[in-house]
Order: sequence, then structure tokens, then C-alpha cells
Amino acid sequence: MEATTAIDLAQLEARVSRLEDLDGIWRLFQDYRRHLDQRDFAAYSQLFAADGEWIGNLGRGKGPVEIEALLTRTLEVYPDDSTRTLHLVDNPVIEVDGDRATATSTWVYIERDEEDRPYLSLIGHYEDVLTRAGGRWKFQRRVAYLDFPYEAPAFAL
Amino acid sequence: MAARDGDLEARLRRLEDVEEIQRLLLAYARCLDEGDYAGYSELFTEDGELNAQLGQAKGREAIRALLDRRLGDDDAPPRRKAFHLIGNPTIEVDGDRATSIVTWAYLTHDDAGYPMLLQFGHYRDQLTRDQGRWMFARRDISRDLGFSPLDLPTTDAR
Repeated sequence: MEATTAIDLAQLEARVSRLEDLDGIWRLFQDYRRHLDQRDFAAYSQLFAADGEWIGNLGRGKGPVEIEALLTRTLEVYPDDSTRTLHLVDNPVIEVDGDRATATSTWVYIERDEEDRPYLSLIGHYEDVLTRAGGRWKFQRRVAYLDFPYEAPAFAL
Repeated sequence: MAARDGDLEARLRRLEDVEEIQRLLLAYARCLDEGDYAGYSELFTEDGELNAQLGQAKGREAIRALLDRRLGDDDAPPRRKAFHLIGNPTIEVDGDRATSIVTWAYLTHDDAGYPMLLQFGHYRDQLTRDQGRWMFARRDISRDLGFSPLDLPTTDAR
């Protein structure tokens, strides 16, 4: 009876851990889009593993230093709140396997038109490989696909 | 063994709390879109606070009265005028208290009936577990972009 209880507890722990991992990875996605929308490229780059990669229409970078430099070079910083834009991230599908995980999610980029009305500017999806590093989830590789209007990610650069 | 049980129970509880708070966030949007302002007000604690572009209110009765006054329309046909799309939830649970930051988008239709993204912003919430149920102790609503139908002098298709 004691042995049965111990085994059940281990299984239960694994099930709880999997749910915690899904929650942790969703938080990572939200940290990513929040730092991006707030143009905090230093905090954004720290969401990647030491040899983590970002690949997309802006180019590619490997490691936090390169990734921060890529965003600093390619993205404008808002002069004030009236020019702010927003990413909506949804449709997460996450598969956890120990200290690695893979995921896909959809992103929608909302901008303002010349009359200050919001509109759907871009739509794409992310394909991720994630790794647990130092007790927290980080991007090992994030490919940001821009689907509408289509623009090829910079795999070859 | 008892200690490990307790630890596991606390971890599971946190996950359940996050899930229950996500239901609360969606219940809020549903009540608003369906015009159920009584149901809406019951998502707040008895002395809960709402700070929104349509006004400020403290307490369930005051919150319901505010929505009835600003949004109530007895002659409205039984069809939806808008959908609140709720996204980007970030929820932090700390015992019987929690905070959340959530993006909202207000989708309606233009004069030809086509869908239109009219405005969006963020909710910033303080949540409390009250008699076993998560509720809003305070919800602050900001609009980041777009126009409110309440701001428009006419109901032209913006």
C-alpha cells in the first residue's frame, strides 16, 4: 500500500509538472510580446538561451547579444505612447518533453492608421524549440513566420 | 511524505487558480457582450471597484447602475453589437490574492455589416478569492488605441 502511494505521488508530480511547464512557457510567450511591444530589447534578448536563435523577416541572430543588436538595428522605438503598437499572441500548442519543448502559436500585429484607428497590420505564426535553463524556460530557437503579407524568414543569411 | 503531499497540493492549487481566473476574465467579456449587467456586477466583490472609460463605480450596486445607465438599451434587438476579444493574459497568484494584465479588443461591424476592430486596450486587475470564488476587487481599464462608441457624436462607421 505504501509503495502504491509513492508511485501514484510520483505520477501525480509529473502531471503537475507538465501543467506548470505549459504555464511557464505561456508566460515566456507573454514576456516576449510585452518586451517587444515595450521595445525593451535587452529584456527581450534575455528570453533566449545563450546559444538561442531568432529567425524571421528582420534577419537572424544567435545568442542574446546578437538578437538585441538585430532588433535595435531594425525596429523603430516609439517616440511616445500615441504611436504604440501591439502583438496579440494566441492559439498556443505546446508539447513538453522533459527539459525541452516545441510549440507553435499565432501572432497578430495591430497598428494604427492615419486616422488613429486600429487595424490588423500583419499576421504570422511562431515555431519554437524551448529549453529549460537555470530552472526557467527559454527560447532555443524561435522562427517568426510572417504569413500575411508573406515574407520569407532569413534562414539563409 | 505529508510535506511532499502538501507541496504538490499547493502547486496544483496555483494552476487551478490560474485556470479559474481565466474563466473569470471570459465571464466578464460574455456578460458585457450579452448585456447581462447583473451578472457582470456579481463578478466583483461586494465593495469591488471599476475604473473604466464609461465611468467609475465602487460596489456591486453602483457598478450595475453605471452599466445600466451608460450601456442599457431596452429597445435593442436581441443581437450582438460587439465582441470583446480577450487575449495575452498574464496572471500572478499569491494565496487568496492575484493580479492580472489582459489585452482586450473590441470588435464590432461597420455600416455594411463587416467586422471592424474599433478599439483595444488593457485590463489591470486586483483579484480576491471570496467565499471560494475568484472575483475582481478592482479592475482598471485603459484604452490604448481607437475610438469608443460612447465618444462618437454619431454612429457612423469608424
